[in-house]
Amino acid sequence: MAGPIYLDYNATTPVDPRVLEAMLPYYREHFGNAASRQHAFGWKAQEAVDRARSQIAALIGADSKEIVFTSGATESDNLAVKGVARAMCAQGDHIITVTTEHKAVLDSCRELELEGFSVTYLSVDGAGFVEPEAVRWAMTPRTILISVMAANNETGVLQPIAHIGRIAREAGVLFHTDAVQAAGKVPFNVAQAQVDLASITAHKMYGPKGIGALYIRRRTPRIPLAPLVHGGGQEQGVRSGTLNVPGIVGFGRAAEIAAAELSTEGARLSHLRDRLWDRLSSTLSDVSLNGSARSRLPHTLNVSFGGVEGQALMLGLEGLAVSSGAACTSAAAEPSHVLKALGVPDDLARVAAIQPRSIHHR
Amino acid sequence: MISRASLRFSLGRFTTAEEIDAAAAKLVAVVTHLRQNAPAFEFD
Repeated sequence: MAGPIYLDYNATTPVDPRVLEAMLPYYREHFGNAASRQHAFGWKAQEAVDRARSQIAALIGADSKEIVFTSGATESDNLAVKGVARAMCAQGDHIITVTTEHKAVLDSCRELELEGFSVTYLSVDGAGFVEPEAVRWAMTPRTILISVMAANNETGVLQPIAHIGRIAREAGVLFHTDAVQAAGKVPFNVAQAQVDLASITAHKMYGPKGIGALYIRRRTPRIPLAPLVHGGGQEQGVRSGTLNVPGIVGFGRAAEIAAAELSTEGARLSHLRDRLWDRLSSTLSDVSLNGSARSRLPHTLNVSFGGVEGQALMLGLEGLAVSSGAACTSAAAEPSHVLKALGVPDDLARVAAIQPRSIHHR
Repeated sequence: MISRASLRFSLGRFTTAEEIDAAAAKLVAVVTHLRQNAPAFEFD
């Protein structure tokens, strides 16, 4: 096999050639600023943004007016968590989240704790699930936001967000989900899940890096959200800054392709994923699956190998691009907080990552 | 303390069956080799 094998799609995906093709004209001839209302260059850019917004909204069952563009999921998570908390500080000061969330949510919550908010970090069971009723029990009259991810980036475990969404809506508490790994991979519908806010990003679904979105449910009264970025008042004043038109066009096309291919691709990948697990578990002793086998992303497999040291394993696996945690966590060289939360001992959760020298795509 | 290591495999649009088979073979070979050559103190 020529070149390294890339099995780290949860870290990032290559841009699909169809996506790149859609983007290129918006760097060249259609380079206009979508906010330029006075001339054709601006209109052309605005048209493209409108189309992409509809494509992205369609992927998650939203209305295009409910999509706000950001620089990526980290910003979307920050905007949702900090934006709601800061806008609602008069109504309450309590947030509920889960220990296995992405650092973009956890670190936003830590920041809010410094500002005086209180945060409940719910634990998960050995399979990686949070108990929806635990969310109900954790709620107080001061609770203003619940944030639970749709799919975990490390284990692929799908949280029962529809159940949690129902509990949140019954209680009248806003519900945010980090849907970065779920959107475009498994059916994810904002109405079915009863979410008020959802973070998504292009580069996990074969779109470009540097462009994400926050779904903000339209209702009366509007969901209170304090902006993080102030300036030109773009994106309904929620997120100022000149729109990344080529990125948005690519995100839209990526979302369109993901929606069209979701079910066939999910079936193909779960078959390949299970084939990998079958090979490992039937040939090697002392291997274990981390996280639920029942309810997880079709393309994700998290495995512990007994009797081998992490660093030595990764060195031996030169030519195989895999990770044992979130890529951004790998840089910190700490044990995975997600595996620890599942009760996987520290030694098992040691993070290591191999970077391939070059990647070949067909 | 027996050492252990955890890996995340995440597949995608350009992943092929050939790549999965090659990855599985490589993993089996490396894990087997490391276990055979592991220093004794790792197994106390």
